[in-house]
Amino acid sequence: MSELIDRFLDNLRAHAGDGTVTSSAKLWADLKHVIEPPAITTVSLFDRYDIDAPAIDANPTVGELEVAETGVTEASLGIARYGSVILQGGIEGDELISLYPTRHVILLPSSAIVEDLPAAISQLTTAHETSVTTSIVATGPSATADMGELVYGAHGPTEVHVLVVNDR
Amino acid sequence: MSGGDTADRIRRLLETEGEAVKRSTTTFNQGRYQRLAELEHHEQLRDRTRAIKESAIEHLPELLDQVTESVETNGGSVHLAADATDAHRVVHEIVDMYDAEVAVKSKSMTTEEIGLNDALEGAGVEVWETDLGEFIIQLADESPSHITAPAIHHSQEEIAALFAERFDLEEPLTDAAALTRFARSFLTERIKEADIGITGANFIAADSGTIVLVTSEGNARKCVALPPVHIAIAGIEKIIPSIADLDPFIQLLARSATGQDLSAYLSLFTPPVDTPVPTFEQPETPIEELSDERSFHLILLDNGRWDLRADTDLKETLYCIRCSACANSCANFQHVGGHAFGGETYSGGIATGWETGVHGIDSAAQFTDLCTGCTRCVPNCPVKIDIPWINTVVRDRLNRAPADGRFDAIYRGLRPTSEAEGISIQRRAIANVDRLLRWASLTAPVSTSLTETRPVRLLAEHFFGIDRRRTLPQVTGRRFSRWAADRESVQAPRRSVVIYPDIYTEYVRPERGKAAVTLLESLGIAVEVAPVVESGRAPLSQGMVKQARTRAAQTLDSLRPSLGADSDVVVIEPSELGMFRREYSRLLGDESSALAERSYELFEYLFDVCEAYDTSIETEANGHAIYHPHCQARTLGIETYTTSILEMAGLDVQTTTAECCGMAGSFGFKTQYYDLSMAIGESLAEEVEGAEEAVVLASGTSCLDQLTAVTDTEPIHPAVWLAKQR
Repeated sequence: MSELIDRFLDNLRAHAGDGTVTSSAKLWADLKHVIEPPAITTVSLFDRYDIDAPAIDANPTVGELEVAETGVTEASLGIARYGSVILQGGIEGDELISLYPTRHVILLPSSAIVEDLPAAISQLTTAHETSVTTSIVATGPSATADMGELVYGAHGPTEVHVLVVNDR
Repeated sequence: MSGGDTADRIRRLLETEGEAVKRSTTTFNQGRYQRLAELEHHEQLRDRTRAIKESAIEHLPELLDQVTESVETNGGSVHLAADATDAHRVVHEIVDMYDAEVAVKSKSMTTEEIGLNDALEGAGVEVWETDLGEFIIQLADESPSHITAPAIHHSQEEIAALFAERFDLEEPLTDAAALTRFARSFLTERIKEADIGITGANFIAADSGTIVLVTSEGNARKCVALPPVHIAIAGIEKIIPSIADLDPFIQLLARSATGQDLSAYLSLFTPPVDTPVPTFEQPETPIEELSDERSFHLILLDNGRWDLRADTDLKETLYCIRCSACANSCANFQHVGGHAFGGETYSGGIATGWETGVHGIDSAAQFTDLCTGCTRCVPNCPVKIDIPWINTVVRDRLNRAPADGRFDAIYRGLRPTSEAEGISIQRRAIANVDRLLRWASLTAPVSTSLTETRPVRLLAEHFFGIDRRRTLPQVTGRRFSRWAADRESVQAPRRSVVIYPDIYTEYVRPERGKAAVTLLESLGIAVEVAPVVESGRAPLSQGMVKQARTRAAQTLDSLRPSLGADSDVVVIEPSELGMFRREYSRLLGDESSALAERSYELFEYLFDVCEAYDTSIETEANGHAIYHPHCQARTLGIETYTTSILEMAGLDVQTTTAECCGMAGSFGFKTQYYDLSMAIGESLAEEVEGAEEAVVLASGTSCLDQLTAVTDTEPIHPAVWLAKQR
């Protein structure tokens, strides 16, 4: 398992992202190091991970979305081969929180890391057969080469940090 | 367009856009090779993408029904648009329905195809391109020069100057990061104001109604997540059965396009999406209280695609996933870009199929000649489209079409009214190059001196468009097959072969043939030489398929007696082996399969003999060689045999990376393409420079001509070099 996590993190770094391993018990302590305030997230993420963190706004307004430096969301899957994560949208605005702020912090349960793309595609197939309407396979931060050289941080986040939660 | 106009236009683009295009396309090209080399099961993935696309296009009527049902069940609407005008009508209706004033778009070549921005602006809607490349194109009021990187022809300095001018900036922004930040913040405001977000689709899954977008900037995600109305516009060929079919495409697409493992975002939207709609004019509203009411319209565009589907030769175009590998792996494209190598919308090799299908054959006519048939795109296409064949077919149709001002008046006056209607005298001269060479051989050396005189070169340029700056092949009276006929055969040979004497070996470079015979005999192989019959390559290169087929059949007949169980055919010119192994199956069908199986390129054969009989070709030589593999040899995957034999003979071999030498048969001789051909040659020359001590080797007759023209070296055929060492 830890070999899979290591590979995931190595490949994430190779694609201009960053990541660290944490546990449910250490989650809040580790989150503090990787968020840049103001930070926003969703209520259900707080509930699922049992976090109570006043520094992260779990019920942001549209105005707070616009000025947030950090968005914290959960990934439904990680792909070890590329260091990619699958981000699912939903009625709480996960897609907005993932996309708008400069820094995106992603919680990834270690049990959700798969080896390669084919496993991820089959998960996406199932998800979109049911109620999921937005899935993003994100590999590193947003990027563009249109201005003459590679720049990280185009319309989406400039920095991506994945916290792999190793007891989930 | 006349030859002179074409030459002027290409020269201008080489000067203004060539450098920027070359820098990016060659980076993409190298990146693709690296990433695909790391990918296990690459060929199997290509087989899978091909099979999925073939089946999807075959079952398109059912898939259209299915996707319509899926999207409607999800709560969206589907509109089938017959053509651009019809698509505009649909968009106008949607705009009216929502009283839209501002629309934002993510990158979509299909909307370029139908001129959507002008149509929206005509309806009073402000439109903004949010992909940064498309944004540059919009600000500059230009058309894309590349299907995935539309502003590839602009340097960073030009982009900075453009921004400074359009936004009245006191100081131009000085680096890519600052330009990106500026564009992002400007466009973020536009996306916030937008009533409608418009995207294309890389794929549409019929069973779930999912729109799949492959992007890296995040703008497509914003165009879907922020405005309350989403319009996706896509050609009907984008439908695949299910998300489950995506795997091989996604493994190949970004690698083939930009040389990345994956693009930053692979987005799957099954609209209307449930992301709440942010109301930026009411910033106090909590996200959880926002409305999730959204509308979705899928516009599926025909615009010639149904007809393409029924077109046996051009149908493959519909398998295209618009990765641009055919453009990036094309030497001509790398040097001049899509503003020359493109039609109204699309650019690169596959554009000939797209333009013919969606805009009509005249749109393809202006650039299809830039496909030289070098075939480097063939192994690089992730869906295995035979792009050179598409170009050949379109050229053939253009040849048959009535003249419509495509040729110089002088050509028109000279053109006979027989079945050759429409075929320029330049094309016919090149197609019949074997006759010219035979005549010149019969009258050599008088013909050789004569053809180098200024009046003859001027006439050749005027009537045939053969550029006077090129050195013509030095035709010899000492023909290869005559020399070979007088030889005694090897006693007790290991095997027997028949050499196919291509017309260049026969009339221009007999030393290649002699060297081949010497090397084969030194390994105990008995050699005979087949009759001289032009393979059909020359007319095929000019789009004269019927004549090529006749020549192919004649060549096959001439070699048939040599296809016995204990004999093989050895080919010297790699492009002729390309004919036998690739094009003959198109021209002659299964009948040619025995020839394809039993013919070998010279070094391929030498290598096999060395392996089979545990022998080798050793020489006293050592030192450094720079070997330029023929484009066709690389596509056939046989260039490594030459390298192996040269190494066996004691050389340290460095292989060039240029996709093609730029001469490409007759291409570099044509007045209208001389400058482009030389620009490509100069890139190749850079790879040869600085190796004064090295021997420069090339197998193709064109490659040798080009290397002679663009370097100070004396390039030599590897067989000739080897034979000299012994």
